[in-house]
Amino acid sequence: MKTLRSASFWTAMLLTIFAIAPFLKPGYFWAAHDARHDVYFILQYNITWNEGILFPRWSPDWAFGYGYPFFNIYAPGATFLGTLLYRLLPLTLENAVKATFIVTLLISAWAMWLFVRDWLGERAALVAAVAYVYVPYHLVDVYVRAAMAESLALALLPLSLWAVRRAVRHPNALNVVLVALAYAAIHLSSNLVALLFTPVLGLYLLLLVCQRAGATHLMRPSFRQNEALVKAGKRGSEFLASGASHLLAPAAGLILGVTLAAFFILPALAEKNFVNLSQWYGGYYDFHEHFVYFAQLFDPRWGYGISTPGPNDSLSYQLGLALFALAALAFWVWLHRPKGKTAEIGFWLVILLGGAWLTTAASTLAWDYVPMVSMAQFPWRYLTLAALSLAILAPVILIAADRATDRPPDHPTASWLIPLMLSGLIIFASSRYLNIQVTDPPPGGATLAGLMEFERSSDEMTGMTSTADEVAAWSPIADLHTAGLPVTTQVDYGLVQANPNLAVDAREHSVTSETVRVWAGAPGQRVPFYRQWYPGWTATLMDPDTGEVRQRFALTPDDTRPPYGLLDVPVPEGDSLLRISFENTPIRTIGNAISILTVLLLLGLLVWGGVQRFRRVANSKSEIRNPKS
Amino acid sequence: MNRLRSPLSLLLLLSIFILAPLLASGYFLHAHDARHSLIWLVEYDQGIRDGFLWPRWAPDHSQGYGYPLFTFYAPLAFAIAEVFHLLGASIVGAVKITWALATIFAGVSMYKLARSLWGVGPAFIAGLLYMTAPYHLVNSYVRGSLAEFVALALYPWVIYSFWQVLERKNARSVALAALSLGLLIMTHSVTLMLLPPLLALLILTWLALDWRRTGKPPWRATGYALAAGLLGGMLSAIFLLPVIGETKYIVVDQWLPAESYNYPKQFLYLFQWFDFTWGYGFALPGPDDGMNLSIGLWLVALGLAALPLALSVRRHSLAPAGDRRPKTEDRDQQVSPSSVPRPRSDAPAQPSLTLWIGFLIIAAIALFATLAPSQIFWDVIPMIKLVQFPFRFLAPATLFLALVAAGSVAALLPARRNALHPILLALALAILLGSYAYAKPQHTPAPESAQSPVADIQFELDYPDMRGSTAFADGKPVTSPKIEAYLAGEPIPLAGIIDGAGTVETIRHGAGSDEVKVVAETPVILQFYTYWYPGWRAWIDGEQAETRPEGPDALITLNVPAGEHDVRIRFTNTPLRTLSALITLATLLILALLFFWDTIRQRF
Repeated sequence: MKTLRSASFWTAMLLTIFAIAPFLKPGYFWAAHDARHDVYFILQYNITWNEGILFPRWSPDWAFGYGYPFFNIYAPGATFLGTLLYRLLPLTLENAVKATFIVTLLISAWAMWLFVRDWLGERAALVAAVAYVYVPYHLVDVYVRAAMAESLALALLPLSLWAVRRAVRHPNALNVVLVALAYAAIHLSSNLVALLFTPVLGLYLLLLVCQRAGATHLMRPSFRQNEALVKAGKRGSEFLASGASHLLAPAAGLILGVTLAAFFILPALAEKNFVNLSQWYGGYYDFHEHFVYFAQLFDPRWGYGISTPGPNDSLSYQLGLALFALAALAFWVWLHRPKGKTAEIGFWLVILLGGAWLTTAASTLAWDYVPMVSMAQFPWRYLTLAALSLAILAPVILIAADRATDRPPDHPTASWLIPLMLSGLIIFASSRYLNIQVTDPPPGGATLAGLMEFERSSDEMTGMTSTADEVAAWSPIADLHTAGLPVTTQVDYGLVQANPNLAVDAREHSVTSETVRVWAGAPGQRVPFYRQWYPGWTATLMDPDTGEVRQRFALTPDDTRPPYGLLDVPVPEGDSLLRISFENTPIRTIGNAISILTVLLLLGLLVWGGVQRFRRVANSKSEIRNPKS
Repeated sequence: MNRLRSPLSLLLLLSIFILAPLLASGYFLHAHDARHSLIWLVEYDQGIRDGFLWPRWAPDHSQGYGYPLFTFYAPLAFAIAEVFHLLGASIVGAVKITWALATIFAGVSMYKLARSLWGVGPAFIAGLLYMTAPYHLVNSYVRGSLAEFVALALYPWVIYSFWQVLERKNARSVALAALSLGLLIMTHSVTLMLLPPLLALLILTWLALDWRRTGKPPWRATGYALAAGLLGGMLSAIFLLPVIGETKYIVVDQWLPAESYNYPKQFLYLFQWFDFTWGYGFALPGPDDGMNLSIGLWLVALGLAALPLALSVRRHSLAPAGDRRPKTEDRDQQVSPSSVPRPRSDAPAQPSLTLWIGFLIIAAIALFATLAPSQIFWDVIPMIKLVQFPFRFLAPATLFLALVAAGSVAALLPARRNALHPILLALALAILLGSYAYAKPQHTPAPESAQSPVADIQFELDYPDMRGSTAFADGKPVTSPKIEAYLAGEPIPLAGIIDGAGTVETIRHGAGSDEVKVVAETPVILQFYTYWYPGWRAWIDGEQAETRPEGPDALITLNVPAGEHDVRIRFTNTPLRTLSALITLATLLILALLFFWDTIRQRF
């Protein structure tokens, strides 16, 4: 509520209009790198929602209709948001994607505003919010790469910084919940960004805790004097105790964040090896080919192409002229050791340099040997950290301006013209990049037929699970989608008819299950399906007349046929009803259970925190009424 | 010296960034109407040189048949340019001087207006914002539409002068307001549908506020404002009345129904307000206009986005704030609208909330009119269709947003507004930076042929749909006997004998008059290669002769008896034109009287 009453907040939100405007253009930016993916993500999610599955893990139409456990290994947050917008508002799929980007831009301004307001005040918050929206890498993500998941994750980063900062300063139940929600949201938005950001968040938390615990006293010159050394042991233990107490709430929040997202994180980690990962990390994705040349960090040129080996990427990796200049000014302010701010400014300067360093070939050793670093896939992804730091550092110069005018930064009449001017200049510096390339829809557009065409033309989405030996090039299911016909069964009737000992009659079909009646004339028969194997596919054999379950078993890699690793379900001799369904594996069930428990715990904390707060307010009110008591 | 130290002089100095391209040699003939701006001055100049004080006839239009261009197209911008041409500037030079003066006047008039409301600091920013607004730069360097640009420069002056009428309620202010409105109408007729309705809305708001404040109906202010409006209309009678009365003599539709002039297809898309892509193409149906039709970064940032801040700061600062006290005797704060409390020693002059919001609402109305949802209003409001392009409403929107922005700056300024705070200098540089890249025309040479009558012929050869035709002709002229001579640079044949035997010899050719010597062996029918149009009269040897329109192009035709004769034609005033000129003259007298009314009253 305090936020909504703030004029600075509304100005920051209004200033996002220039970044939002390109999405108000009629048409869609089909040629942006992931723009087609985004549309088909929502299409798939929506199809699965139609069957009542709120958090789908299986995308039925990937790999030409063989299916792929896409949302089991790829964070679904942005797609969830997009599908929600698609269903709540009268939008086409393309417009739902555009709306999602608009929402992520608004969230990024809001989140950065919150974080910096708590740190440097509302005027700085305005500048930082604008900077975060218009930092070139953010614009690349949104307009050029059309990376929906990363854009949402990027938007959420400052939110978790804000929550952690609050939790360190005011360790209470509500703030623990905030940290948990914010951190879980990042994990659910983008695995990669969560990986990149977690070390930064951890270090930031440590910094805050150290600050809070009085670590700065230890660094003072007095500490270096002999008599101080005597006290050092005592001080050290005090410091550790104090630090631990400050660490408790945010750390609990972070752990709860991870457990809240456990329903996604656990299966993603445990089951990622059951898809063909080399598809996403080898060849084109070899990071050695994608290091950013130092000059590219300062190259003002803009383009809409993809990342290519060599320094001639048309994709821009620039830090941004205005923001880099402001970061340089922040460094200058840092040199002057502003009271109470030095450490944090220094921290973000280090993150900026570190983030930029990791994008360049100078960091090859780190990429080769430091675990997790190479999980970012492309070195330039570390621009995420650089962009975050640039935005946080952008308003630091205001500290100097405030000192010059000798006015408290949050004095209501303090000049707003300086932050407004900085905001305008930041927008101006990025103004040439505020555009999307609208093109005609590709064949099939935003339909399943379009998805099939897309896979055929780029094999981008033809994901293979571990049982597939080669990438499919087309499928009978794709024929149906292209013809606009409904898929009523995914039994491979070509193989069934060639087998004199097998008769199959399809009974029921859904995106994650199928029931067929089977007659097997000999033992050892298998029912072939057009579905890729993945842990979770379960077969249930039932009595065809009574429906009584005879046998139930999880399908294993042995129950597949080459070359695409499609399901080949063994059936006993005779008449039976076979149902295959994509179900939870034990790890998924555990993940779900942990998440549900965390939700309950967070609700409990919320109620507890609410009651505490209510009591505090009530107490303070009664104190006001009866000052003597 | 004091005047030099005023922020206004800095504003004028900074206008160099916008004006500099005009200092380059040549012109920017690829701008949409750039050729017009030269051609029409050529036509106007010929009229003046042929002895017409108020030229109406453009002799080289319509393939040399001539066209009553300045009866229908407001001529004031060209009259201004003509002054410089007569003083010795070339056609291009005179037009460029007019561009430059209009740019400067836009800044100055906006400065004056904003200063009267919020003080010099905000006024400096308002002037700069208005001068450098994208729509302003589009009008000059992309569209090259001189008349519209000059009108834009007059806008703030019109608002200012009417504001003065309401504030001062004296005869002199009425005279100035009437003059400003009259000049505006005579500069760009389309403007009549753009600014005056919004101005009326502003005046009504003021009157309502005044009524509420004083409790008395503001009869006097209403009367003065009405008088100013009426006198302004009367002043422009010389232009307006013939427009109304003579439309039936031309084919008006040829300028209206063309695809590109079709307003339902020309509405802007919302994103265009915030677009940064710059181009030199045309406004096209659909979202892919070739030119920028945006509001502008700083007008949005200061005029819209900063509003929450400005409003909240204003709320805080209404509480006593010692360091925000302005000097009450500051010479720059001479005028202050009554709805804005005059600065007292105990409170800073804050932007009047109602006025500020009023500007914002009017800007919002103007902006709304550029979008497709406003079509229901376009469909029903009479005359609005003459605006042709909805984007033209960006002009008043720019004006009022600049005022809102000035209000925001006034509220946000940490110190008194009657001095140029250093932060405003930085802001000014930022504003210039935002527009500097756009203050760039596509330079072209300006050959002599682009500044002479043949330019008109060449233009119509390039764009045959731009050949005007009178209501008496069967359609647009396909060709004319004059074209070859024009193109070859030879003396232009003025008339020919279409029946009978004889010869015609040119004696004199003027913009609105021709004289030939006819040697007729038999009685002949003589046809001048000039459109017949009300007002054209002929004399044979000094005796007035009957003329008639004849042929598919309805040219001036008359019977000439056999023998050697001196035949002369001249474009004269019709009774309507005479009446309208008299009304304008009389109004000018009235305005002069009103202007000096107080002096006269004191003397006598």
